[in-house]
Amino acid sequence: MQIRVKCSCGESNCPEWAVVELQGMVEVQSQFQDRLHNLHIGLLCRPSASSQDQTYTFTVGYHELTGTKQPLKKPLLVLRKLKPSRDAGVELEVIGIIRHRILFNTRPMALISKPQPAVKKNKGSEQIAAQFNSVP
Amino acid sequence: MEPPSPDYNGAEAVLNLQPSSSIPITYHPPFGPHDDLILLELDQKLLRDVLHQRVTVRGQPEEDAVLCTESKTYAIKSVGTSNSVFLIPPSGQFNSLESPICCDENYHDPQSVASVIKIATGNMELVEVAPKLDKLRSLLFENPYISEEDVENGGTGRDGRKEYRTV
Repeated sequence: MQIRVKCSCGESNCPEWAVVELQGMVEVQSQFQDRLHNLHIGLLCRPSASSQDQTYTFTVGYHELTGTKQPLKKPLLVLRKLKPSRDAGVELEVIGIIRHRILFNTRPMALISKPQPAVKKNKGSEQIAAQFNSVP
Repeated sequence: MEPPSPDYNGAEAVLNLQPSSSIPITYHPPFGPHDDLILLELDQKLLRDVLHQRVTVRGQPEEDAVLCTESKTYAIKSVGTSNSVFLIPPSGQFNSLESPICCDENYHDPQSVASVIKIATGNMELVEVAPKLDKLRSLLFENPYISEEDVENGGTGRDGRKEYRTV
């Protein structure tokens, strides 16, 4: 059996995917379990004003994670399994490439009070504030 | 580098996140297990082979699959992770068929966010192995149409591969 690995994007146009990686799991509150779609997970923030600084924070509920963006030593290709028709065999298609990840590998810091964003507020930070107010 | 436009969303928005700015991360409308999406780790040389469609995955259903380039064979290993790996596709891929479910503060307009399609549980890695020449030989011997020259050539090369495809 042979599975062809197809790529319609070519070498220069392969769409780059983003990866946010953290230790452990993000748990969804039970009232949202059955309607995840478009649900807010957290706010990804690049707090430093310096373009050299690759520090990121990710605020999920009452927790703030600190991490860095790093290039992958070896890139990851995103492949999708396809079955074009019932008679045809399975094919694999390249649909993206991952060259970086934003890795949060430290313990989360608990945010005790409402966060005071160090950065200019935009729509997103208001949303986080709204979520904080709504959590009992 | 060209400056990113402010209305980016999806992976572009995360990858081009400017200093002193932020972006909400949400579950994508088609978020799910997406078992049809596979991550394959590659070095730069193999990457070029894959992007130029020079590789195939081969094996019988009961065997471990191998990935073959024109000259090399790689075993495919599945590596798990205990981290949560949030995969964020570029905007435009996985366009939503559903509209946002509701608009309270826990949900977002999909235009202004980066959305996670899947939480990956691991990826595939490649390890170079010796090609299964014995198998190739036995497959070639099964086939009555092989000319003597092909057998003398050791059963490798283009004809060998062609026979393999018919099995």
